[in-house]
Amino acid sequence: MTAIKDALSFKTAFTTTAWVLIPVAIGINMIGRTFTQVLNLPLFLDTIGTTMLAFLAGPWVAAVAGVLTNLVIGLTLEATSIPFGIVNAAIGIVAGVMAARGFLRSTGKVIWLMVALTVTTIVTATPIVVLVFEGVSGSGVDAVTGFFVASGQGMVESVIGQQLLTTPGDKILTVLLAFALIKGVPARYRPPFAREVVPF
Amino acid sequence: MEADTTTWSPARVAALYDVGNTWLHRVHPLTKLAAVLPLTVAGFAGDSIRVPAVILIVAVLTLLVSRLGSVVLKSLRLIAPMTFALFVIHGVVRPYESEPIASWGPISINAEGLALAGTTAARLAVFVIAVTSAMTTVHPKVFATALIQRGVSHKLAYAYLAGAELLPEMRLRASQILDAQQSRGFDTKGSLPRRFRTLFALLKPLLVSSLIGVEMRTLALESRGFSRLGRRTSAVEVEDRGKLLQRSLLAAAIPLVVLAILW
Repeated sequence: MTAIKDALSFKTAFTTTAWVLIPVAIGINMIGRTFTQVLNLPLFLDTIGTTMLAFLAGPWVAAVAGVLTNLVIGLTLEATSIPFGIVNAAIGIVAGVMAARGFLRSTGKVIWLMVALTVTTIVTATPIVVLVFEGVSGSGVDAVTGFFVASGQGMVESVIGQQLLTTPGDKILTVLLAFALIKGVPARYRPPFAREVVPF
Repeated sequence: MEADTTTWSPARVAALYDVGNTWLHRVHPLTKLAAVLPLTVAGFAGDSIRVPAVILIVAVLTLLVSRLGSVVLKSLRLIAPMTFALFVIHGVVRPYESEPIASWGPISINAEGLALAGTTAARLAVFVIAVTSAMTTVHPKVFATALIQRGVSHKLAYAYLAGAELLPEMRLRASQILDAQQSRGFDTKGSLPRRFRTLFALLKPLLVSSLIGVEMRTLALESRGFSRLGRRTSAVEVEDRGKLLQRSLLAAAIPLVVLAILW
């Protein structure tokens, strides 16, 4: 249980391995999105690296990786992704805390983890999409928002409606993939936190 | 002595960065970053399109005169899909109580919606062009060094820089894995469940190889004193200047908000 305790404390969570894992998570967040575009999948998977890092090294390391993902992408590729760093960080914290509390130990609990990540995404992303971007994201999901707006819904309701339709599938697959991918990594390459929270 | 970034390969980092020697390239990286705040808050303050439009016109003209048209193009590429979506959702799709200015069957264009879409697009364009101008003219290594000089943790700067350097490397590895899996018969255009299986087959080797590399990177960093406390020297040198200007730019955000609201 020491590894869990260390990962939950901001002071002890940031080992050298954790700092090395952060850029890897940033890369996986980026690649998740690229692969879904190549495969024409109706998903984002742009928080898969953060979620995986939350299972590997705990909430605080994942939160820093989440913020840095959007900062790196924002400052090197797309400036508009910067405000969404808050969403990515929140996902890291929720996934990491729930992993530490044993939510990866049974199917029922994993479902609650998926629900929590969906709610976290909707609660943190909606204000940014509405207040900063007036409801648009420049991607295909704008068509869903447009549908709700055309049916007479307000902007907040339309964005929530769009998020309710698109986020659950994305988060379910994010958790399943992150979990399955860690399971596929030989135990000796998993950080101590992952050895305690992932039941293998 | 300033780092000569013109000799560095821009391909090694995922970056907006363009090699060059314009006046904007010579401005201190943190001065450029500090300028993003007052420009953005001024653009977002107030209800009218006037303030963001004026900032945008001045910024575009300055960039074009400074032979930094690439910044304008990069910003345009990013903002164009959002602008299109804003005009469709607010100008065409969204119902309003006021009379439309034009109608074709079920489609009607509303002046109120067009104004909102235009204002939002102009605000976002100000933010995008400010960040793109700053980051197109600074190499990520110089940026990270400047941050460390001002007290940002070298570990945080490492994570930022390594992330920027790892992105093109991972993209390359991803495309190699994609080619290798396709040559083994993986279908990227089949049914949805089949594409999900392909996604897993693509991600797994990438993740496993990345995690195996973590141990090696950790050891390499430790052998270079990553966890040691105290000041560090850097191979990249950035002249530490412009502190007063940077503070003034950050402080300017407050009066600019007031002016933008009043105007």
